[in-house]
Amino acid sequence: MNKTIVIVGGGPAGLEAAAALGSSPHHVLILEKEHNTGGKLKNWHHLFPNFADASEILKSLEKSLPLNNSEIKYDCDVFKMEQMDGNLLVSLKSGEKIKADAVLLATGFDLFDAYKKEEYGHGIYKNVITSSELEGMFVNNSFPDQLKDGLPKKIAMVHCVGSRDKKAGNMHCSKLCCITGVKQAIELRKYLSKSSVYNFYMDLRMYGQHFEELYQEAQEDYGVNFIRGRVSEIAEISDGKLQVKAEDTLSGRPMKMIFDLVVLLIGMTPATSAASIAQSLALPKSGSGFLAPVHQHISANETCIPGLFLAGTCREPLSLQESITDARAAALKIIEWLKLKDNH
Amino acid sequence: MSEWGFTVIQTNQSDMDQMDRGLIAKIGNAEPSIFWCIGCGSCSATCTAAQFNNFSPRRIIQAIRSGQVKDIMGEVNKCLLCGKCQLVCPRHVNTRNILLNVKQIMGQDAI
Amino acid sequence: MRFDYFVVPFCAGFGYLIIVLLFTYGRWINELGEGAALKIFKSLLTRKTLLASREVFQECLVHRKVFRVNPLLGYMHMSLALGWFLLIVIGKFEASYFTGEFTNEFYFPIFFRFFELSPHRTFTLQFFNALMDFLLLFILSGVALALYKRFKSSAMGMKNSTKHTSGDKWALALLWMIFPLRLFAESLTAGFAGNGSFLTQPLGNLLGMILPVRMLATPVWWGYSIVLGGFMVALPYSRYMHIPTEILLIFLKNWGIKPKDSISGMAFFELYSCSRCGICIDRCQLNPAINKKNQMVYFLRELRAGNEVTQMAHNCLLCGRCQEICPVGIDLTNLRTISRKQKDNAHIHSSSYPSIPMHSFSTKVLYFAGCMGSLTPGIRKSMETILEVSGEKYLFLDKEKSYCCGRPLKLAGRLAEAEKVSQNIKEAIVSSGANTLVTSCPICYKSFKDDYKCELRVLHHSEYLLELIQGGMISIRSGNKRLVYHDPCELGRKSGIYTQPREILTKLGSLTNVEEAYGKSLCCGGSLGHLTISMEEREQIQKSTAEYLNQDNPDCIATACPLCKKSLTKFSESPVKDIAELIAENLIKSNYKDHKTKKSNLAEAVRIDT
Repeated sequence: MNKTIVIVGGGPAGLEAAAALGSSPHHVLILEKEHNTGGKLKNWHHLFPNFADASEILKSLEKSLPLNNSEIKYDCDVFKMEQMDGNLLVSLKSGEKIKADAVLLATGFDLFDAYKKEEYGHGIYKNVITSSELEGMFVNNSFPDQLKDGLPKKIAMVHCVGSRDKKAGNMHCSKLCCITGVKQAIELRKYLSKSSVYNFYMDLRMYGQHFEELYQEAQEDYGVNFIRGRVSEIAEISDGKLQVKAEDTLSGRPMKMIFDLVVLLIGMTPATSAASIAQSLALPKSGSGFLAPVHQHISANETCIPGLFLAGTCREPLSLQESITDARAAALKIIEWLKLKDNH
Repeated sequence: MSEWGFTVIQTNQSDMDQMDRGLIAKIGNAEPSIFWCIGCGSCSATCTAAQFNNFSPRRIIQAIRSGQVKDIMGEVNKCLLCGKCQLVCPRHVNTRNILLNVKQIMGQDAI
Repeated sequence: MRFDYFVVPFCAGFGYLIIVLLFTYGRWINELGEGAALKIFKSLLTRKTLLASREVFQECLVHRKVFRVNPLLGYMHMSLALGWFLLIVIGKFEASYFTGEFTNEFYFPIFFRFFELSPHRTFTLQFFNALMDFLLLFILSGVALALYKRFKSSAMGMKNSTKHTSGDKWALALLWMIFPLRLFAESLTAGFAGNGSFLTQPLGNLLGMILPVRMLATPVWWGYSIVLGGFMVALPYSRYMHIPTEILLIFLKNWGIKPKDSISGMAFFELYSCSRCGICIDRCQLNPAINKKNQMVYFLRELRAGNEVTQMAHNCLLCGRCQEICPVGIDLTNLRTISRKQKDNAHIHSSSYPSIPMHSFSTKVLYFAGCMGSLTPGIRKSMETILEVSGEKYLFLDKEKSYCCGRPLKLAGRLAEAEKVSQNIKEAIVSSGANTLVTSCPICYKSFKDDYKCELRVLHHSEYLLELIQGGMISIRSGNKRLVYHDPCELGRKSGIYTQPREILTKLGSLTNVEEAYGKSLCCGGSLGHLTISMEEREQIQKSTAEYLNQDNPDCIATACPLCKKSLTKFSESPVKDIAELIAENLIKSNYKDHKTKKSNLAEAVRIDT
């Protein structure tokens, strides 16, 4: 019997799950809150660790859709879900209600709002930007003029902005900012050849395949400087120049340094768009507010609500590769669940 | 005859098996947040006093934790108590209370 | 001479009390310090004494401030204090009128009805008689309320009442027994002599029907005298020491005597003036479970008992909310602060902190953001924008380096070091030649204004910005945003700046009022005054204060302190902004260009290094 599977979110995880469910006889409906699919990948230029073109990857994710059995609805704001006779009733802000046999939450993450770390001056000083804004500059080739005057520039990359920070309310490590910082440092060195780049870090967590290699490449081939100390504050001195304060903990002395541009490597936070859904189903959350699966190791895609599944960064910070793998795993779990449901 | 430049005096290694655990035991009890420090240095970076003298909250915490507490009183007294260290600490370390405890505990020991 | 042996306990107690008080007060007055005697002598015959007398009447007798907390609680205190006072005074007049002489045995008025048994009275004496019965009834109603309060303090607006020591409970029992015993003594006497009035006579008649009143009267008068004497012996050692001490405190305060930075002299007057009413307990924002028996009333009790208080002294936000409501007006935060002072000064360190480089400037205005300002660049940047638009030449004193005003050390009781740190900045300020010092930090403001004693105007930026607006130096767009203002402790309660920020905000939008504002304003939880509190406990306070301010879903919470802003932001639904930021957002920059061409680059250009 054909069933309806609703996927909330048309980012990489949602798209991949839909593709994986394409061979099943079920009807797959993707509810996307924006005008187009792709999520945050749309605004990314190149990906670590191999500088793969983000738009190429997005194209390949999107090309298989829509399949015969699937449909994408845009501008859909899901705000509530209820359990009803073994099914889930999905309510949209527009008032529409959809009955689903299974729901996959692929709501993704939000970028940390850098203004919450006021001492870094984002939104106050024009030359303090976020890593996401820097990607946007690469995508649109929209660098501010003062960086393109050919003169040597000093650029600071500030790690762990809004991650590993109780003051920001986020205890978790977003785990991708370290490698993003290294990748963007290299890109900046390539783009502004006369620039010098300083990465301020607490720990560099190069956990993935080829991450450590990229870190060494940054030192070896691009002369990126690494300072082991967390930035405490940034102040505008004059003409947009920024004074960054940190402690060079390896030499044990506080330091200040003037920069032309500061890039804040903002972390991942739980998506606000998933908050109302989680609340309506009383879905448990992890300490940092990401959606909690039944079991972190053996049931990472299942929730305590029958028929509700998780994929991608709605449950923890994941790289693109991990998100895609996760989405396929979730798709498999959904097919298993619907089979089981049929037999009853 | 010329002298060999590397005269052997005392060892420079810190012997962690012989470290003085007295102070960290007492402070850890009164202000457990001393154990939460990850040595990021934001406290020392923002520190008002550290701009002018060699005061460093991070180093004091590290010194207490590794039992190197010989000259700690002189260090602790350089603090201006402005509290910015606590405002920037990502781990909620209660730096000022650690210093206060050093003063109280060492002060008592001195008497 | 009118005498009976039963008056002996009263006289002994009274005599003992007088001796102890004279001795104690003598010692404290001696400790008031140099110049105190001269100050008192100079003020003795001035208006200050009259004002003090009025305050004694209002606070010691009528208990006006307690009335403000809760009318029923006020009535309870008033009936006991004013009632008893009038009972003594009118009793004295009654006795004098009766004997025709002003002086008589000092115990005579108190035991008047025992000695004066004649029921045939003139109209005046009957009037006195009725008045005395009325006053007794007045006091008894207070005793009844006090008894009720023991069981249900919430009826008088108090969630928590003081947990008294057993000594205080004994003194309390004695106090409560005085008036019923007097009632029974007078009633029993009236029962056979008929010298009572509307209260004691019917009760006496009633008792006369069932009891041998003539036989019982004297033993009950004995009881009355013993309890009175006992109470007076207990008084100096119990909380009731506040009764005589508070009167002296009010006079001393009005004569300009200030507490020193040690527990001596004036501090003792303050300590012993605490009646342990417990009104301060509910005001404390520290978690009651963690902060058990640490609120001011308990702190003062321990301090008075001479116990070790270092730990207690540190466990306080120094927000001053308790001080604001204290009916006695004790400088509570000062007592906490000076108790933090280290007993051994052997470890006081002599670090030297390089001062702001000294320049002579051609600017009239100095701007000092404060060290906390480096963590709230929004405020600094806004102030720079506003000052630039206003065209005022100014110098940003701590633009590149942070300097400490010294107040945090002072709050921690390290006064000598605070003085030393402030000395350096003071020199830089004085040598600048400027006439106005503007700061964004209420902590620095308090410090500059009260401790530095510089010969220039010290303004918080809320005062200065209002001046700029009123003087037409800047103009702002009015909006319709719903704003709520949070009074910072150091700006409001400690420095008395309440109206200027509000005046600015009413120009910017519509200001909604919350109940806990002005002197009652909540602490944001960021208080520098508390050294030992954990960040988790701080966050509890920050959260509850932020939630409180968000109760009416304002568009913005306005405040005027970088620390408050930082503390409230994390837990606030609506954005938290400093007044300077709100002004900068709504600044009309039409005539900005004129200023800019005329007075370019501000003080940077006119700085002359010496």
